[in-house]
Amino acid sequence: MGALNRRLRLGLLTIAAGLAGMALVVLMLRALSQPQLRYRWDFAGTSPLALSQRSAAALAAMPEGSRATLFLDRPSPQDPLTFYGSAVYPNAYAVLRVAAEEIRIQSHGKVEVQVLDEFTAPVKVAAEKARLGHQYGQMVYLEAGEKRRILRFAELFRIDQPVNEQPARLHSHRVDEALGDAALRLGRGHLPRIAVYSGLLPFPREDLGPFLQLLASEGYQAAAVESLPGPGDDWDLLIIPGQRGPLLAADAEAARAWVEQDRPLFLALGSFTPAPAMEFWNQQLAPRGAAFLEGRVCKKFRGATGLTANADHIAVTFEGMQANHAITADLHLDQRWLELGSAQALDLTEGSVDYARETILWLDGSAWIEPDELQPTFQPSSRTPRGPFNMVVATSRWDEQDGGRGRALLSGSATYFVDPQRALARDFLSSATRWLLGEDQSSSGLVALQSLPFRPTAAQHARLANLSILALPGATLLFGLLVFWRRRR
Amino acid sequence: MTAFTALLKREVFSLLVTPSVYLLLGVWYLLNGLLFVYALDFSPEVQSDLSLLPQYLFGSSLLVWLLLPAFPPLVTLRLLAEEHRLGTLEPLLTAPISDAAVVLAKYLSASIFFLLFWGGVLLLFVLLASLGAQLDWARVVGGFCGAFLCSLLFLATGLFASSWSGNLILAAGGGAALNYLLLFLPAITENADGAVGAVARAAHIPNMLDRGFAAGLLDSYAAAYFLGLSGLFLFLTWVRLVSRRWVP
Repeated sequence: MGALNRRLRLGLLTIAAGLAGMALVVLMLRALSQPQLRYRWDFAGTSPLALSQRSAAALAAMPEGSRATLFLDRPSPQDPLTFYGSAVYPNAYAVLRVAAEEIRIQSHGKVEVQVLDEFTAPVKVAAEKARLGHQYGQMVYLEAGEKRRILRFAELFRIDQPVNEQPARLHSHRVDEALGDAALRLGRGHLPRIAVYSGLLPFPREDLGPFLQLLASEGYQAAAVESLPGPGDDWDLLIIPGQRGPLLAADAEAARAWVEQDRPLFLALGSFTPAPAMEFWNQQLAPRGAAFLEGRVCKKFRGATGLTANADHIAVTFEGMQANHAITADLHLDQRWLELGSAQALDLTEGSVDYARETILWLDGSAWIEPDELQPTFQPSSRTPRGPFNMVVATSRWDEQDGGRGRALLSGSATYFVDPQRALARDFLSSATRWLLGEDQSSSGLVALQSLPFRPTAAQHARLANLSILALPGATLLFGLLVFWRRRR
Repeated sequence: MTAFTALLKREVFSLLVTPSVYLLLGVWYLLNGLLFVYALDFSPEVQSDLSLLPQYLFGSSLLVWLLLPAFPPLVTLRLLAEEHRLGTLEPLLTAPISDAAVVLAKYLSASIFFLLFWGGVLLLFVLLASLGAQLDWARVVGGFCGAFLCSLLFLATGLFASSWSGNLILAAGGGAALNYLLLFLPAITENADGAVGAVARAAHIPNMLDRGFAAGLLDSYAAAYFLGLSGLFLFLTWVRLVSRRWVP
């Protein structure tokens, strides 16, 4: 009984001492996990660390319950950045994993960080992809309530494309800068203001709702305006999602001033736009070197039944997308397509030497322009103008300096504004908006990444294998055997 | 201090003349060598960029998940359990040296010996550099530091398990079980909501290695985590040894 009592007391005492020690360690670790007491030294100098004070402050100022979701899943084997054994994605993912840890630390727990990689349950990854409408190339989602910022691969990393069977190479990243910008935008910073002109919409006004929601979810302050903003208004971008009639005099004056001031403009017209309205815009945009052409663009397409038909509802495939432009690079890479309806083509004209212009979307020679808008036959004839046609043209100043000043995106169709919840349209619209606001061009905060390729020769390989698999373990075992033999003696 | 140094020397020497630890070391080198050659042979990403290699060998690779928790207890299993089994523990604890010094000397000897384990892995990088490969030494050294700090924790748990009884299997198995628990429990509960998830994320060892040390970062919290928990298990070992004196 005495022994049992002693054992019990001994056990209790041991447990009490153990618990006290544990409590002490837990308290210590809790204190040391606080961002102000946590130090992370970057030996390598290549990580997004420590996040700059600006980014750390922006993350700390984000509202409680914010979320950061990182998609680091296995890249598509069709992705050129994986060709020839490229280390682009493993390197990029390594940087982003470190960044995820930093977000967690610097946000003081306000941002719930979720890393979805190849080890995450596929069901969970699929659910998050569905919730966020994830598309290929989108790496980081930063969310604060309803607002959301999406950081794409191209925004975060700079790469050398694969050439001559050489793998693509990641040469720098700007994760810190991009995260800081996104957090500032969502947390407390200035939201870019976007005016969406709804005065002459070619579709019911309520159909504009999803597009405005999309802009808000991307972190912009967007509003539908009945009249065009004047020179004194502080809108950052003007979007005209279709125009079914000529502008009123006051609006025309405002539009003229807007274009003259080189303020960012997204102008989408269509075959429904009357000639005088189109002529007005062609005059304003003449220095930019682009003009809308009359007539409805049509193209043959193969329907679900396999039959070939002709229609004005056309699809621009990835082959008709500019691969190197910020708006369409990801769409092209992912081999996506965009639907256009009631479309008109654009012509590239001489324009002013101050502006550069680039065709973003185009249709090939199988497209034609239906000459009669009122009684279309949807049949090409020998007299109808044939493609290729420019469908969306981007213009910008050669000497552009800040933001998106001088940038304009001219689209021959406006139908994709109506249903931006469709992934294809949504991605195009959101990339276009970012480009127009100059959010693609930031290359500040670039951190160079070292690339250390090593392709051993057969002789080097044999030497490595012999030394690491045979010599080192063998010598150790031999030494152990020697010790064993000596001890036995 | 002299007694402590003498004990430390004795413990290190004792490990150096134990044939079984060379068997462990040889197996460790072989597995690491295989992983090393595999990474260079079958991972085109590593061939494209050797800066990824430290994460293979010092980060959250198969080695960390499966082997690292098992090896340290195999090194420490004899330190106290053997003394217990042979009945030499009591004389040692009554010798003119504090119990804490005994625990510390045994722990330090195992730690010094374990440097050989990671030193061999470091040697593989030196070998690679000697063949003209350019390496990101910051990541290599960072990874080495992280892996060694993690081993310090696993050695401490091994020593604690070794203090339980004179049963060597219990010492090795108990230490390995504790280590796997420390490794897997946070990984399993990492995505849980609330405090459980927060604690799990704060105790996620592979993340500390992969996203910290092997990426070329020294994280004060991760270092404190490894050292703090090592201290806790050493304290528990000490409590285990001296508690019998507390209650007459």
